[in-house]
Amino acid sequence: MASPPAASDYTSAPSSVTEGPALTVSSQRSAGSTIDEMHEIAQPPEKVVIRFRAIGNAPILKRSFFKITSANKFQLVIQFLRRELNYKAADPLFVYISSAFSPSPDETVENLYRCFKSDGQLVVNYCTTAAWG
Amino acid sequence: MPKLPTDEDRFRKLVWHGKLPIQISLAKEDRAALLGRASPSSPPVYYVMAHRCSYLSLITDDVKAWLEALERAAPDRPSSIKPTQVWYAFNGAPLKWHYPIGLLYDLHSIRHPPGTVSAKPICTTKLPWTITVHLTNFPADRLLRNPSRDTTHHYFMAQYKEAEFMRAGSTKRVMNLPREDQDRLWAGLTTAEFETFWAVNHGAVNADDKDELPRHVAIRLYSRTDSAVVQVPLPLAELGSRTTVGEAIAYALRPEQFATGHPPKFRPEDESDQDAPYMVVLHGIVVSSTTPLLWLTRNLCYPDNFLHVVLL
Repeated sequence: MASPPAASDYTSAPSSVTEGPALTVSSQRSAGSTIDEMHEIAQPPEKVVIRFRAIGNAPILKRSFFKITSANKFQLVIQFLRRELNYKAADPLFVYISSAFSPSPDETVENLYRCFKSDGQLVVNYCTTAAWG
Repeated sequence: MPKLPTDEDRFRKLVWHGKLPIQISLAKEDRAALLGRASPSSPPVYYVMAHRCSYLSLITDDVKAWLEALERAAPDRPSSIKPTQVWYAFNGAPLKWHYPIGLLYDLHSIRHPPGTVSAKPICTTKLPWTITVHLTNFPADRLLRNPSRDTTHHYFMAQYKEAEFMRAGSTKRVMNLPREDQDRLWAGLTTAEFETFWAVNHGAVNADDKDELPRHVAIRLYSRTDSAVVQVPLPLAELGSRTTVGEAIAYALRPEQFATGHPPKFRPEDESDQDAPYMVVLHGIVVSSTTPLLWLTRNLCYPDNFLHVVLL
């Protein structure tokens, strides 16, 4: 069996989308207060906290917490991560939720947050080689 | 050693063997390039009896062979068909290759009769389902890219793991499958061999332990009206093992589940009755809203172990 293609094989997007104004990710240096708030609110907030965790040799981000509008597709999270890492479209990048599976790039962040959040965050693991297939 | 499937699998077999006749015609804009100037006025068409549980990207090899035969019949030219650029459309709308074919049909072609939601949905398109195949201008803003067999395999296993994560709280059971068993899942799906797929899916992942409820039901709700897809964790232990699909959907669509407090609309555009119940469509059939969710998740899942439910 051929090895699985890099995530970029179906997650990369046309440059117009990558550069587009839709990106609403904003940095969150001290995420503590935000996460505390999350526990107070039963209803998923319009913006949710994403925590990036590097696996293996993947470079570590200076900041690991970000907020993103939950109506966005996961595709945007991947694009954002690529930009933060300064990765080109051809560089392999594998992205997982909760160290378990790769979500579909067209899944909304809201759905993923609702189903897979942990302690008020959606944990996104990333690496440069396949970790969890 | 995986348990062999039994008679209890009859609904799973019905789902597995569900087929859809499809008529594929070459898109107008690709005809001249492929067939030359002397292309016939009526478009060449290809018929396939597709498995509802399969994917459009998995019939592309056959479609490509058909197109190449046409191409050879036309004046000599090297084959220009790139499978990763091939896409399909219904009534001009690109069809997502990463959705099961049956789900695509349910989403695009099952309709309420005008002016009512209480009657059974009718399908407004006669069979075979008529779609077009396109060879150029891949709509990368609407479809996931690179719909090769390998990509589809990769995507399918990722979805399989996601469903497992919802149902079991981890993907351990899938990750612990020997490589050959994981490959058997894919081999079973692509060859449509029920036993090959279910010998692994049944024993290792989908065991019918009567006492053990799935942690969450892996279900996705699709709206034709505004193209929304909703995935909500349904805690069966909390809701009760007798929870019906109607109750589950009502739970999933509570306003507090949504960031904006407004669940997406799941009713036809022309519907004025705000209290109209939802019509639950799964595998092309209308499912009674009183059907137990537990029975559905054990019997009517797609091979990725998700219940892909269209709400009309």
